[in-house]
Amino acid sequence: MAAEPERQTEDPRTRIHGWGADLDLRNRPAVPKEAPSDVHTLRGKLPPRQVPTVKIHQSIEHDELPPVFGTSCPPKGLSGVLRDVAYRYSEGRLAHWMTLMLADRVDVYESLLTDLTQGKVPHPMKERGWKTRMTHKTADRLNRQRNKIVAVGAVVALAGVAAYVMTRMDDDDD
Amino acid sequence: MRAMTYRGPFRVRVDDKPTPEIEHPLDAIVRVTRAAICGSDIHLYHGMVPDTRVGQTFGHEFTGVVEEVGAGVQKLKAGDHVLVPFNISCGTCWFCSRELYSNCHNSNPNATAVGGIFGYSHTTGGYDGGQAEYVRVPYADVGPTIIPEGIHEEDALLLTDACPTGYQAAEMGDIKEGDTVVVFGAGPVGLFAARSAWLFGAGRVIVFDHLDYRLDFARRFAQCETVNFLEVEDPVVYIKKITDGFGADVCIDAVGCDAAGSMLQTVTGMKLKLQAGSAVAVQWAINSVRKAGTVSIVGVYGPTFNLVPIGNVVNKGLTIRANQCSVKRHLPRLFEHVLAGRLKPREVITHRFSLEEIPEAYRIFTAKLENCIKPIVIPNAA
Repeated sequence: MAAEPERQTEDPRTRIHGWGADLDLRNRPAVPKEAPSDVHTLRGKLPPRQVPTVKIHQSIEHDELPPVFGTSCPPKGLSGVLRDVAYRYSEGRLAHWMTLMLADRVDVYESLLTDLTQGKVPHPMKERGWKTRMTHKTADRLNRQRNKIVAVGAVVALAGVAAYVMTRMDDDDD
Repeated sequence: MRAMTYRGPFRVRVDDKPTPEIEHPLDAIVRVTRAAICGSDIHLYHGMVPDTRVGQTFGHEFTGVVEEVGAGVQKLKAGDHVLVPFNISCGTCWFCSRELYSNCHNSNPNATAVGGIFGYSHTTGGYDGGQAEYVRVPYADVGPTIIPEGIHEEDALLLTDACPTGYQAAEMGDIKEGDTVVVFGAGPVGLFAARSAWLFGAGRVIVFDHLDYRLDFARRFAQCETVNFLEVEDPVVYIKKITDGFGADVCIDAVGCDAAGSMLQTVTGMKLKLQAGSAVAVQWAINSVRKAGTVSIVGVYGPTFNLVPIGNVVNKGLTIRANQCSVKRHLPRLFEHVLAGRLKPREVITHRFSLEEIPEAYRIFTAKLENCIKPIVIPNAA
């Protein structure tokens, strides 16, 4: 077992600037945990309503659209159909979330096709920040171990494929 | 305008997008002057958050200058220099009226479990974020706060999420004078949680991580003890040993669903997606806190379920406190702390990138390259 971390013996009262500044409960912003309020309805006094200009998915646990919502990336294509399906289920259902995850993956390929049809050639290496990846060594030991396992695995797999191909070629020669 | 866009797991780029417009009378359009990449953006980047759509702009930590306001906005005007909390909150619902701004019921059509958040998938409302030149800011009279005189812009940037989240983590720990506080994770939120624990009167603060450079940083920044869990056979037993067999009074999970440290959790949570990410940190927190202690969770997890030892929570009589941070609630006190020099948020910033360099920024941050703690982005129009 590793040694105990070097214990700081000096009293934090003298060592730490600001020690105990919020020790008194009255200084803590979240005391009381819930600030008093006379609002008793879930939505309170409703602000004016935003008018949807694109399709907005709504959780079936909401009784109506909230007054404000984001309009980024409206649903499209097959991924949009999958999202429609997902939003038929409540937030407590695995079907809701797993269908959304599936839609996300489909969206990636759909968007790749859209890029290509619009003459935009994606640059996956650049998008993945490979310039940095190739020139820097991670400080994350677990990542380094994983990278080694992946590299060794790739070499073994390639060697296996090469051996298989060579064996087949030998068979063909026979 | 130029904006970061998500293209799929591990892929981001900078695209031309339409400049956002007022869509609601309480909106403002803000020209972004600083944006940060948050540890929780990594969960999006890894494709772990459901309903993360290709083309969305991430970024929920940003400051900027108000360019335009909707007809109903009363507190802001063009030219105001503001910090924008990551929560989108109406200010009037049952939750906001109790200062639970992260739980706002009027800002997220896609889910009821969480309020709206900038640039954080459609699970939190489908809003574009601030890693762009401009951003639409709804409910502009509630969240955006004019940066007070004497507060540096980059301190203000850190006050939009990372610093108040760490502070709230410590506050939710209900720390008593002399308590031993263990923080899992030496990322920016963990660093702020550790630093804040002293403000609440902790007697001992210990940070766990597996990255030596982050632990070195934690010792300097938070003046705490540190442990590299890769050098410890069993972190739970280790914590018991260094607390006279008692366990820590308070444990804080500042890691969330990308946690390292358990092959089982990594494979089931991060590779196979059989649970909502890897729950190593919260598992260690529950098991290493003392009986009747408090576990405070601010690490982000997915919406389905995780493998956690709930039986131990019952048997040990634990209190679990958890929430997304209600930034607006903490700002007045945090401004005081920053002005008094008790907190120095911008000290965690290690990297500054132009917007065009954002794919490299994500790579450096997620792969823990160049001793990165906190990267920020300076848009072209800043």
